[in-house]
Amino acid sequence: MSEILLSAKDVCKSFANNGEQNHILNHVSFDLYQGDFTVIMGASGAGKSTLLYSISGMDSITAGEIFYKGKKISGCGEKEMSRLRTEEFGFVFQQIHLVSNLTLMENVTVPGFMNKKKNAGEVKERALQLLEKVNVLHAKDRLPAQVSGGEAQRAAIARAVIAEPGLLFADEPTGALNRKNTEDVLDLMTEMNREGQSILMVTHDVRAALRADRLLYLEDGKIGGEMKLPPYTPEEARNRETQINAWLASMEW
Amino acid sequence: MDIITILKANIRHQKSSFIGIFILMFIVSLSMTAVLTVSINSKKSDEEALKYVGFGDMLVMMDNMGQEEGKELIQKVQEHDQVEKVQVIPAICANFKEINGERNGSSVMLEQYQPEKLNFRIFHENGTGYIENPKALKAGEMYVPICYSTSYHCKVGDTITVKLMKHTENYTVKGFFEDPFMGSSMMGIKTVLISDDDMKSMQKSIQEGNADSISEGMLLNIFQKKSSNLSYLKFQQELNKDTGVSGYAWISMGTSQAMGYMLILVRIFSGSLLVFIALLLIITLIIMNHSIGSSIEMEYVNLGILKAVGVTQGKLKIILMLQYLLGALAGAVLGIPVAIPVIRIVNQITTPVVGILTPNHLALGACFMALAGVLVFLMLFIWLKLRKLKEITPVRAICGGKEDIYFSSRVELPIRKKGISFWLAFRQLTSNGKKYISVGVITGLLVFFMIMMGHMDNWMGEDGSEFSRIFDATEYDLWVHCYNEEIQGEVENTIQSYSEIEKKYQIQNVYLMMDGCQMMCFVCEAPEEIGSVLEGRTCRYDNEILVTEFVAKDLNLQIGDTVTVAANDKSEEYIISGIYQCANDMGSNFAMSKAGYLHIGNQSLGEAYCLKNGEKAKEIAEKLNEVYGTELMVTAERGFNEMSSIVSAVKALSVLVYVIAIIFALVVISLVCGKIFAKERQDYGIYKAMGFTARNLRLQFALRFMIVSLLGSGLGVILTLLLMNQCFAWLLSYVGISHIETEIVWMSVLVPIGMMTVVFFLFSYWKAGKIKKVQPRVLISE
Repeated sequence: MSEILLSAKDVCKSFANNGEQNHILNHVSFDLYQGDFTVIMGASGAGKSTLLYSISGMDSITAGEIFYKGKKISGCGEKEMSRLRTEEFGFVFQQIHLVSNLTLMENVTVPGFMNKKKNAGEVKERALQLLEKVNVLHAKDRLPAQVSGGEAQRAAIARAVIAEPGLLFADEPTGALNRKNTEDVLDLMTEMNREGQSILMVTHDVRAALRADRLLYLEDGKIGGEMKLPPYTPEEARNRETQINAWLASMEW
Repeated sequence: MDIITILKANIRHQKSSFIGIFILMFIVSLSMTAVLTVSINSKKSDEEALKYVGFGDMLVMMDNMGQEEGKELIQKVQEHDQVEKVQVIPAICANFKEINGERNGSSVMLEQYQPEKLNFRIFHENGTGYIENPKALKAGEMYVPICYSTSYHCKVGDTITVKLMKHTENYTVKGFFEDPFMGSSMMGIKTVLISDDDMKSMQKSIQEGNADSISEGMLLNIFQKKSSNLSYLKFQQELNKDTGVSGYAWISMGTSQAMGYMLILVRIFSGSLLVFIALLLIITLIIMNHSIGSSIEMEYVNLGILKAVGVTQGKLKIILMLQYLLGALAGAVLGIPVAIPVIRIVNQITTPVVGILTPNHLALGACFMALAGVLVFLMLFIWLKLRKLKEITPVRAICGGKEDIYFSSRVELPIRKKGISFWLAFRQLTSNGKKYISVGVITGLLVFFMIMMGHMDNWMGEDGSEFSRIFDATEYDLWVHCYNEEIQGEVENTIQSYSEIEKKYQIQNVYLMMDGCQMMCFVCEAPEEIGSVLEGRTCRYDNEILVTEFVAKDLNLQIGDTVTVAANDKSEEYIISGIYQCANDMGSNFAMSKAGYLHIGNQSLGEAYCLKNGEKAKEIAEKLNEVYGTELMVTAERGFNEMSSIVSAVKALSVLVYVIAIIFALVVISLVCGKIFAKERQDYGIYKAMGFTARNLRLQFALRFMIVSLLGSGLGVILTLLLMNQCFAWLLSYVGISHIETEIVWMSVLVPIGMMTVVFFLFSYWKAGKIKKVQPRVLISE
């Protein structure tokens, strides 16, 4: 069994709406393991993204505890959260959230510069390697508005891993992409996972979920089910899809 | 109805914009109302007071000439075909060397208080109104001009000590009176009202030959015929040509001329403020321009949707127009009543300086007209700016078809690890430069005006001594006029015991007649010392004179023209050799050499000394006063005692300009920050997700505004270099100065720049506090 990377214990998240409490996450508990590619699935509005942002410290939680590498991170201050985001966590969003007045290269290097452990030269070198790996090196000096959605999202993935994070959070990373770009991005993530990158991804797309080796199903703010899969190979994609669809059907997806 | 609903929603949605425009217009309206009211009311009240007292069109003060001696002259004036009537007021001419221990040296006309002749109004003790039935004066009592309350720190009931040449007199101040002719502290000559007994006793001592530097004189109050359509200058020329009345005068002045002197401070004050208000209006327009542009960009989709649901472009224009105009209108309307207490305070301060009671009521007609003009102008401006609405089509808007705001980055400096906040701030700035141009221009304009006011304050000097140089045509350190010629040698020895005398020459200001007009003449033994010759050359020969631009323009004279200059009964023709500038008598003066003057005049001249050790001048003056007292007149200070009024006014104005500039800067930052923040909200989420703290981002945000402020300040410095001397000359044109060269004092440049930069940095940092509330969850799109 792999080492536990992140633990969520009884995580609750509620919103007050016109005096009424809406419980989005209701005592959610689970562990994430080192080197896993975990996918959270669930119906629209089930609270998938909320769970992702809550456990990553991007959003506050109403109750519960979150531990990262054995250390409690829920309730820690802005400075500590900033350090975690700079050194330990990487994020990929559904919309291509790149800073629009920075070039792709700069979008990748800026978070690297925030990491005090690396000097500027090392950051730039790694940024070039990553951009080459995600196949956007040719567009490194372009602004986000000057490249395609796929290129921009691949650059966003490079940005997310510039600091060699312990855990990569991805919120529907292919949600805004066409089929071709979706495949490219998923291949890239799969490859990164094979190289040891732990990933937690939220999606409602079964094709994206195929890449996972662990699936969590979120229903009414609770983990409703879990499925483990062997590592992904393209040859077994069809079988895997059938298997996942069956599991989802059992979850009343 | 739909218009009102959308309008209400828009105002609610863009509260900060509405409030910002409201504040800007409030300040503009408040200052404009105050300046116009003070300016109009003081002019009106001076005109009204002149009529109330009973002054005619020309006042001639005779020295060494009583009613008996002047009988024939009075007769001639009375019979002149342009003269309606002449009122003769007996007077005593005196020179007060000191009043209440304050050095004075100015000429004073002592007149008997007789309201049936000249009905001077007496102020209440608090200076805010008039006493209804003022008491007649008893022996030893005086009514003094209100400016004595500040210039010589007099209070009603005080005993003031008046030092004449040989002895000192004590008088009780019975009250302050309003002298609309020469009651301003800007004028050296003053009228003081005394009792019948004192008048008789002074006349008696003059007749007996016991007088101490006083002489019998009279005041001719001349009324021009109503049917006469001659200007004052022509009237004076005609009258002098036929009667020579001004030739015998100590001083003569027309009502309009006197009003110029009386209101000089108000004019300088209003002039400066009106320029500043114009600047504020330009800033308001820039802000509106920015605000409308950003709003259309940010509300692109909503506007498109409104068009899609049938709101016409015309209606949208009306809604947006009302949205901005209502803020401006509300500010303008509120500014009017709030100006009332401000006007009251300004009038309280200026009454002792200007010498007349200025009413506090609003000059409503003029203020409404001016503000209505401003609002109509704003309306047209907004209407023009709203042309952009045409470009919005429902389809483009709903598809999010607006241009990417960060598409190009012209100045691409790389982002570096070291000082990353600065580099990111700089990138924000260069990639979206257009949005910051308005902030830069506004900062430039504000800094320009702040530098100008600070520079003017510096240029005038702490005590106004530098400013007073414009009243002198030559440079010197000490001026001594010995009434007793025998002490001249001793005086020079005393001076030399303090400092070596590098140069000395005689100078004196005397009143002479030029082509029938009485005018101040600067007589100089060394005309080559006159440094302010603008055209032609100095009056090198004894048949040449220099005239000021003001005189040349007024009398239609040119270099090479010949004029007749007269003193008493002698006159000579002189050729104009050049145009020079000097602020004496508001530029109405001329200059000639001593050799030239001796052809017509014989008044003794004072000696101007240029010292090797100029800073000793004050010390020397004190010593000479102590040793020789009444036997000489010495001055180491330039200009006139009352210079401090102008200096204080400029200082107050500088503070006011600084305060308003800071308020404006705050409003501008507030408006611009609000819009920029709304646009960049998502970017802050991304940066936070990258690991930036709120402090990092706030610093980055504030740095951006600091850079803009510094760049804008650069523009302000350029404007200063290009326009400062012209602006100074325009302001000083009130005192007859049209050319001025001043050197930039870098302190007066650095202080406003530093202040604006700090204000911009701190306030934008504070405004960016909202970043703390931005959570990366703004990026969630579930």
